[in-house]
Amino acid sequence: MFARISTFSFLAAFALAIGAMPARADEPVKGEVLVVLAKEAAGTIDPKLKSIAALQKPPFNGFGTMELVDTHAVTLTDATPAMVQLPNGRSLQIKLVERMPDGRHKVSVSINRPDKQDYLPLLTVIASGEPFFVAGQKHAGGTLVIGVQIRSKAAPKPAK
Amino acid sequence: MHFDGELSPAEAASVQRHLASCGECGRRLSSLHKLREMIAMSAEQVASEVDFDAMFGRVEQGTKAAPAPSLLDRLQLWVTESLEHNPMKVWAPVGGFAVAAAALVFVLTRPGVEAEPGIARNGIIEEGREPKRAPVAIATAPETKSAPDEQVGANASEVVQVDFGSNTGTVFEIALADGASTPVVWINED
Repeated sequence: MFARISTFSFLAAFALAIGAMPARADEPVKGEVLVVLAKEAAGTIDPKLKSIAALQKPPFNGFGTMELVDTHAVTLTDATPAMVQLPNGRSLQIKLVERMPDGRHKVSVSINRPDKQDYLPLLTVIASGEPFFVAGQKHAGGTLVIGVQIRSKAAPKPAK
Repeated sequence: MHFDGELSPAEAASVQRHLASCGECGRRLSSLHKLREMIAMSAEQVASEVDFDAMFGRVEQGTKAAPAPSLLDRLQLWVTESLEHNPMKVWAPVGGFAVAAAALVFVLTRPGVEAEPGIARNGIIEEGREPKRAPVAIATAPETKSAPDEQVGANASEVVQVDFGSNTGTVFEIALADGASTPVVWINED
């Protein structure tokens, strides 16, 4: 009798453990990719970029001209990465690696050239919802600044 | 030896003359004779003289009169008897409970997944040759953040791994308002 009770209790605890695991539904993760061409020469800053705080700070505030070349809405799933064509002929790939328990998403980012081997850097980023940037590629006399923002469900920090 | 008839006639006569004058020895010999008679009686004859129905009736009355043992008493008895004869009957369910409890505690107290070891959040990493251009890291003046989208969290993004391969580059963070920061990966192209 007691052996049967212990077996039942073990199975009940196992079922509770499975149920306590975070939901892993294959819900698509949405994001946005900004492609900005930055030049040192004095010029205009695209008004849409003025709301991005990071671009107002060093080193980006050292550029005199910032043009929002393209904006891409991306959708990531566990099986399908997102691909974005860059103006320099390369492509940016964003792959969903892991859905974090705190609502953030771990993604890998790489920049590939169609006719050559993978172009690095290969990044792995835990994206919180705030954008992160990959910059430095030369194009059209300027520097490409790629901003990637992956939506998350992370809880906001309490105000200080 | 006299009782068993193992003495010689002369010795037996001598013992008989002693028994005639010794009361104690006479009584001892008499008890030996009685004992012999009792042993000679058959087991069935003895059993036929015992009322087993009355005896069982007395036992049944006694058990009914006694109070039933409590659940705790029965459990203690079960544990004692099982440990003595079959210890696995006790330790198997105890082990099962322990594993179930440990699994439950592990799930409920499991910490969040930490970032993989890699680049420190405020670190600057350079691969390969010295970069021609070294971006300045870390702004100082905090600013008011723009109104966040409801799905955009306020926790910072973290670069946990970067591989520049044959290129060089740096990884740094730009400090924002409310302690937030934005990571930047800068590739140095030749």
